[in-house]
Amino acid sequence: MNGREDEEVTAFVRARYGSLLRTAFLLCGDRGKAEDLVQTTLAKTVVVWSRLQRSEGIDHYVQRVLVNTFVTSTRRRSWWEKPLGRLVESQARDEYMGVEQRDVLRRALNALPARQRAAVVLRFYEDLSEQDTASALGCSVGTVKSLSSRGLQTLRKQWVEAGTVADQEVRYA
Amino acid sequence: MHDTTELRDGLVDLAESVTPAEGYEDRIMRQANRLRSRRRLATGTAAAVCLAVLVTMFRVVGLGSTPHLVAAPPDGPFLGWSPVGDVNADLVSEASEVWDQAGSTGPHTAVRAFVATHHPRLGSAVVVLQGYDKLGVARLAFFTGDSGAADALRMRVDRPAPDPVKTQVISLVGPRLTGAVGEVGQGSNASTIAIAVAMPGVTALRVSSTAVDDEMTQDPGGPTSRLVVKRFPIAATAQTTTITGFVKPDRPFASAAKVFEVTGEDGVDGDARAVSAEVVSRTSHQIVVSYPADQEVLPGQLAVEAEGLVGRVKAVDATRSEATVELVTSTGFAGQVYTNISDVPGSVRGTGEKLVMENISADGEVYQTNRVLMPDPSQQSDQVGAVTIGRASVDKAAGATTVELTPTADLAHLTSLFIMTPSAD
Repeated sequence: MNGREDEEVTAFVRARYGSLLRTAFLLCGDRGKAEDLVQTTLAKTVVVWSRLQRSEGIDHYVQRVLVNTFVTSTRRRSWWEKPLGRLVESQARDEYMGVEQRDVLRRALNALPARQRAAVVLRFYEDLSEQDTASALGCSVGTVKSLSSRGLQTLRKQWVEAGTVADQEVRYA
Repeated sequence: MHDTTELRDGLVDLAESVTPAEGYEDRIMRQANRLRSRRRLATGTAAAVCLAVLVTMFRVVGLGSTPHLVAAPPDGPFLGWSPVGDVNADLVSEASEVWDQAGSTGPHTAVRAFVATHHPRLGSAVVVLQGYDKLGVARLAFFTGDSGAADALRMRVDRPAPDPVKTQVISLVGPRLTGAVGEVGQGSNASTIAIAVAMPGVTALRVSSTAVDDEMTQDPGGPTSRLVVKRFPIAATAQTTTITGFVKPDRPFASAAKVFEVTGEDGVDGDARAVSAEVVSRTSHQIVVSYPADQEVLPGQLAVEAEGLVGRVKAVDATRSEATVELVTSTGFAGQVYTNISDVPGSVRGTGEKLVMENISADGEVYQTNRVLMPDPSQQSDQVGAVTIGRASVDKAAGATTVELTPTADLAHLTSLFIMTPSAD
């Protein structure tokens, strides 16, 4: 990689890091994991940068790597990352409604299976079309529709349940 | 969250809380460098594994160097070859006795056997011995059974021992190997027998004759694969029989490589003698050949090579030991012929470029590629040693009496040939 390419790569990384990090956060639900995911995604992109220069759609490629790396990481958990127990988190009390709603949404997203979560994030955060989402996920448009629909359904259910609990907690407080 | 707009807003709101930390560029570049090193290592390892697999394939599957024969060290003036298969001591003893009694060369000493076995394809015993005659000359002799005398062994040929260093195969081909000495086999034994023994290291032998579309290759690698015994139609002669040796490496899927291809050897009492000759000059219709001065060649005798008939001796210059051979395609060439197997008679004449078979009976059937044989006047009958002159170029039309032939001998590239002369007996 020559100096000019170095500059191009650095510029690309700087330009895309923030938005990728936000998408990764929605996928992982954890800031640290999101940083790792974006770092791995961009490192893989840098390695094949010369090849990508000769093809169209670097952004599509990066998006696909991001999603694939995320889905793969949820399938194969490394041996040093075995969970020691299941942490049952109690619903945090937050006197600020906005913060509480973000927390509810984050928990609801975390409860979704990886591919459903990816479909929801790509469709409703990245605003990708069904076709582009299918391309990023490496599946058919029909599968995207199915994943998005089931993801939304679960989110709504979680949302309603969280609202009910919140109401009850407020009522009995 | 009742609609997707609310979800979008929620997601944007959630994601907005995340801001990049300092120093991510360096971390990404370091990880990219680690990935590159890992990929290079993986590529190198894969290449090394592929190379190892290829090398193993070459060694195991047989894609190696061409096998070659390693000559067995000579046993004094004799071939230092090990015997083929099990040697039957009784047969060796009987053959030695026959050898001692034949002619005045016995008794023989230091006798050793290459072959001494009953061979199912011959229907009798075959024995090949080496030994010194009473004058101390190394000799080689072939013995086969006489079907008319309870398969008692008969000596068929007694030759000087061949060059113990250069010889790769010894053979005997002739129609007089199954009956009494000097007699052509009768009835079911009316056939030419080819016997060949190859040096150790040869894993398979093939014997083929241009008198018939037939050949036989021994199964490679067996205990008797160095020995081949084959029956051919009685028209086959040593000069039209080819013996080919193969070496097959001891590796699965390895293909056999040809290590020699030679004409069969003759010399049985009663057989026509072949005088070898070298081409000296040629025209489109005839060639001039030079033959050994101690041989006698006469006009009318046939000139042959392994693939078939070349022509007929037209004139002889005995003082120069040269003979002029009229090629089968020359306009002056003519003679009686018959088709192989179906035995349809006719006559043949050269047209300058090709051959035409004529005077075929209208109902005689001759099909494309059928062999057409010409009797050899040096032989005792029209059938024994008849030589292939050509093959029918096309099917003979119904009711037609002629058909065009294509010569089987490569007349344009001849360098040597044999002139068939009558037996000395």
